[in-house]
Amino acid sequence: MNCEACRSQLTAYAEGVVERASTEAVERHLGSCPACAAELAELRDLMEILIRDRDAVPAPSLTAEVMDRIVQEQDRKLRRLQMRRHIRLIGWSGTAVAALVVAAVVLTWPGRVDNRAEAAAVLAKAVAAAKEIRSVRLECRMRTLPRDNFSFIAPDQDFVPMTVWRTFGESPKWRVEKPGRVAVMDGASTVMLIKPNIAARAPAGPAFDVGWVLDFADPHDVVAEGLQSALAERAELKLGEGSTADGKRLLVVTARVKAQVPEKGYLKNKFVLTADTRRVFRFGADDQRLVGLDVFLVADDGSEPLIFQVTRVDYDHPIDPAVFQLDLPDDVVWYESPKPLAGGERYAQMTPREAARAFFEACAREDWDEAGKFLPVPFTAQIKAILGGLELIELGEPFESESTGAHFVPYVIKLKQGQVVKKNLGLKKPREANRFLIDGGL
Amino acid sequence: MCQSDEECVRQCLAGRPGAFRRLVERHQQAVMRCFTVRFADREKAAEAAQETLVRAYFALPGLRKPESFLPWLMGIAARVAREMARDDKRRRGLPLDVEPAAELAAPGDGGVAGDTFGAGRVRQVVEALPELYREVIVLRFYGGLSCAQCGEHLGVPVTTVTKRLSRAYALLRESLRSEPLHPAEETP
Repeated sequence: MNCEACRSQLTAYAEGVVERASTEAVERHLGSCPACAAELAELRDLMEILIRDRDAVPAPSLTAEVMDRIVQEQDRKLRRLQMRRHIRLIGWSGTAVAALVVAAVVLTWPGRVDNRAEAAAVLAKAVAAAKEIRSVRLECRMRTLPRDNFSFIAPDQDFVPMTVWRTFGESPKWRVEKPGRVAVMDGASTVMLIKPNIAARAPAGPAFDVGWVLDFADPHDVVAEGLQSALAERAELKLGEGSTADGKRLLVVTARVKAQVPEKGYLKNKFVLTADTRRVFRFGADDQRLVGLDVFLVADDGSEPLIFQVTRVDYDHPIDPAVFQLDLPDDVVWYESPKPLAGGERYAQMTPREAARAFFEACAREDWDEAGKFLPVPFTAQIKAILGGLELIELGEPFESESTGAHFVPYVIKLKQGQVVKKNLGLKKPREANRFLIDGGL
Repeated sequence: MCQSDEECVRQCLAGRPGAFRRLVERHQQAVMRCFTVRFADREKAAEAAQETLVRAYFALPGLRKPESFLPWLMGIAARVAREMARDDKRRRGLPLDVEPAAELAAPGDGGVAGDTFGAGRVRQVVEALPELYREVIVLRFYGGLSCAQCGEHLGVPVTTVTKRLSRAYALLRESLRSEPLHPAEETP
């Protein structure tokens, strides 16, 4: 490669979008041509300058304004529709967060004055009441595993305590914590710690599968969405009354929420967002504020076990700023996004089943370098102690999840300690890794 | 079960518009930053960003590829920018073919200094680029799109994107060299 050819490729090279063969040619040339290497350095300096300039732009949060405008706009649209008497409650046009009050009116259209409309009205008032709230602390409990995914449902397990802190306004922050896992968004980024020492970082936002519980902690969203799902699907929406232990009068609204996943899919009823649920909201009768929430799983066998419960809600109590700082242990191991392997063609061509076999066999002979190629997190001593020397008994027929693109390989293994484990190994092939990586089910 | 753009879009369309809040939180900075290159006025950039996001919400059912939310959003931003620039010129009675960037790049425009984002020399130089090159720099850096996403947004192959970037870099370096960065401006 000569200088001219190299320079024409430099931008693409710096962006990492050249073919592998060209990359090697560019690198060989750069290694022997100081002038082109200097050109690349200058190019990178310029990119750096542009990035710094971009980062210098103060970007105030527009979320509140945007969501408010959407609400107003929806409301206008719905009113216009109502004028034309072409009111559709099903589908996009009728499912506005905005349109709650209007929706309640629509439901009381002549001949339809029923309990459902009153329930909708209670929720609509609750949405309005929630607007002024600055911070929330939820005490919850959930049937799940302490270290597993935040939204993982395990109806046959005991309740695990979970606490959510959330502040609203200009610089929103939150923390979600259960015994084996904690995620904190401090305004700048989101960090999750899987105890004892595996950590992952993401941009500020509801990463790590906590979005659903943050929604429960947003008094505005929780009722809006509850009502909405019920309206959208014309599902059960009922109003009842109750009282707290100390005699405070409560309004109780029950809504059924259908999961947005295939009915027979493997993920069905495994996670909060993929589960059919019955949600019971309890509001103070005088202030319309949410004081409690029960989520029941609507299981295939017709049973409805309680899987999640908000047992206490504190509004606008001072929250210690330390809550939004996450103390990481000294020996923390950071999860890094997977990179392609050097000489990884063999791994790129593996089927899910072959990848599962290669992984278990590597664990069996305690070849952690090899096994690590299938695991997106570094091996900790604890995982090695459990999986080392295992015996692979059987691999079943793999199947695929339509909604997430994950593959599952049923497996039976016998651990060194004698325990037999029979589960489905979840595998995904992220584009940036170009091979199957374990996504769950260990 | 991570909340990808695609999943958020699907949730919105399935009747959970609350999921749109996540998309707003995730992409508002990119939209805002793109507008800062077009409009020096902070209020106006914020207004344009809001308008873009609100329009996006109502246009969601027309999004063909939910996995390409950001490039699609940038398309709406570009339309909003064009409309606002046009309305502006009408208001001020300027001919419609005057490029807004040309106005902004006028040196010594101290009158709007208080309203700008503390834009230094770099932004001015970017603003002064010909539209073809400014667009790709804005998308790639201020909008945070990858080269592939830029290509998707512009409807051109990735190689065209890198070629335009390459040319844009050359122009930028030329401008910056003729009037070097003041150190204080380099790191505001």
